[in-house]
Amino acid sequence: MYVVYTLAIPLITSAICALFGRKTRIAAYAAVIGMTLSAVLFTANFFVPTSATAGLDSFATTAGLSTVGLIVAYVVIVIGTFVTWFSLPYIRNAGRIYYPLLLIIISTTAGAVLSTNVATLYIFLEIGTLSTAILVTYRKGRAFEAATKFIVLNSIGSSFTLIALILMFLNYGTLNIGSFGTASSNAVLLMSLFLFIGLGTKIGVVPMHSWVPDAYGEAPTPVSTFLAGTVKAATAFILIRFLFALHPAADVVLLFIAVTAVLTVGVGALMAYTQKDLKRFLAYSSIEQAGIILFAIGIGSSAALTGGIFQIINNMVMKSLVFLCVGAIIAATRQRNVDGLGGLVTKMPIVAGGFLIGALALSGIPPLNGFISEYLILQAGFEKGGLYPALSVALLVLTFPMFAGYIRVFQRVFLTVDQKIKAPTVSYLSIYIIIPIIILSVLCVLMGVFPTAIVDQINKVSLAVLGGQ
Amino acid sequence: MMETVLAFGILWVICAILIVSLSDKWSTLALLALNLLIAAFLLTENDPIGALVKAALGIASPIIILLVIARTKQPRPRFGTLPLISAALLALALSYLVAFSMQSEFPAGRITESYALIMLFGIAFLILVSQTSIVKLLLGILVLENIGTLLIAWGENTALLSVVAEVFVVLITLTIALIALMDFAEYGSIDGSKLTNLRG
Repeated sequence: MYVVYTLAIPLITSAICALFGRKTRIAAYAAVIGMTLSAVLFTANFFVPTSATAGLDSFATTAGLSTVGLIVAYVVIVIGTFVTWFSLPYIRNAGRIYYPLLLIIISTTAGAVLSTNVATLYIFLEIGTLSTAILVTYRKGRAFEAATKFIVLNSIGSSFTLIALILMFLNYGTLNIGSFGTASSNAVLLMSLFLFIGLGTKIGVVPMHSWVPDAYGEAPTPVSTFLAGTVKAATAFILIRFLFALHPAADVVLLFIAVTAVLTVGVGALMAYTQKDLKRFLAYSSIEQAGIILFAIGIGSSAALTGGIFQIINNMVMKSLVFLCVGAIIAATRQRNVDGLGGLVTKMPIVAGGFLIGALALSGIPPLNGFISEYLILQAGFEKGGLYPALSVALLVLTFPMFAGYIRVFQRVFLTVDQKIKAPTVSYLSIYIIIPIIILSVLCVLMGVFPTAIVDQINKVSLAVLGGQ
Repeated sequence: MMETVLAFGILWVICAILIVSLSDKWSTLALLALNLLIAAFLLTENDPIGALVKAALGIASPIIILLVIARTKQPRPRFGTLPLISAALLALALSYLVAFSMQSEFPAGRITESYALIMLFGIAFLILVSQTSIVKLLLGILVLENIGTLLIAWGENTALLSVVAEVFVVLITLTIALIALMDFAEYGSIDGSKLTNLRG
């Protein structure tokens, strides 16, 4: 598994960035080069014969990593690379901590996605959480309050996760989820519940979501992009991996997750509609998206998990796209309030196009990628029977305010010209900001128009997950 | 069984009331005592490495918290009884529910310890739902983390796991303490209810 390199490179680069200390431009370029190298090597991994990487495979297995999460980890590294590029012109005074911590978060997120070992997962999750908390304080002032909410709630979540993971170890007698046998139904119920509360807090499930708008709103935009687009979705994938490794499945917990998911979608969509701050709007929108992914987990069938994992990958692409567009708006206008913006479509056509594609994809409009994954999830919900068809209808209805919210924001920021408000001055945008937006926009379209290849691959992943691998 | 559950239920409600009504400093010292008690427990369980780790790192977290308390002297937050009572009732109900549905799952010979863990969970739950001081919330988190570290001792060959879990407990304490000091510099308080710039 060539991928071990791609996890090590960001960590080594992180140490290099830390060594450069005050020479932040050198640290920034080192981070860009390191992440780009990591992404290129990861891409090469798909073309290298397995026999050529036997030594690394053995090392990875010993370290508790497996290839089941390879596709998701790949997207994590790619989005992480784009976020590092974006940071280059966006973060003027990075200081000593920005790049080292950003690279640690990217690397640990990818590592956690690949983990099949209880201890390895806990180490990756914790390092990621603690690094994120420090990075959220980066802008100081109000960011301290956001970081406080983040670290307190996420530490509570970590404690629940720790208890769940140790209960797994005690009940199954092994740290590796591939070797889990069966446990009593009560024990599985307790483990599933603790795992859901623990990882659910990190995902931002209602009612443990209050840290999300503050942390995403106050963190530097590239960090918010990575947290909302990638870390949240990656944590949902980890929940899928570990929840479905528990046997026999706790159906009552799955139903509980489905009901919580619908509530999460409702709260996220309705709260997003009322926001005027662009970053808080997207933060609530990410809560709504988390609800959709969780609904797939709650259904729990193979078809639903395929839709759910596709939605996880799509969320990484779509959410990162809209967050980067908002970052571009903030970089160009120094404004993040909807009321202070308007008429940007002529001044920033690429960003406008990217935001529109991302917003439509997130709203599940065909032929974009979000439509395919949401369709698969809802179809699985209707097929499941019981309460699930009603919950599917409720979920569908509750996503409408989100769609309306995106239309309102697009119209207000890009189309409407309010004569009473002074038109915002738009400054030049670096190519490091524009290129990721173009690539992610193209991906949203391609993954929607030609979904078969990727859905086939994800189908194999969902079958492996249900098989306890 | 009824008596055992009731006894533990009442005991942890008393413990929780003591923790939330004591000052931050005394609560932290109580945590220190709890950590040392757990270390002694691990020693009796023939887990000397776990006991050593717990004793060494179990002292680190309270020391960090005491340093935060020393650097952020401020009036004590008002003691709110209503959230405490409602949380106590909720936690007691939870305790009964868990105890009755799970007792058959408790490992043989560990019935009392299992109830003790539920008691710890109740204490943590009470603190987390009723307190706003960051130090008190941190204490609640540490009590919750202690359930995990105690559970590790029930397994075999778990020295490495114990070390990993304890190291992260100290790192969590350190990170929250650092952010609490930042809050104090910005807001002049480490009470969550006073951090209100992002509300509304």
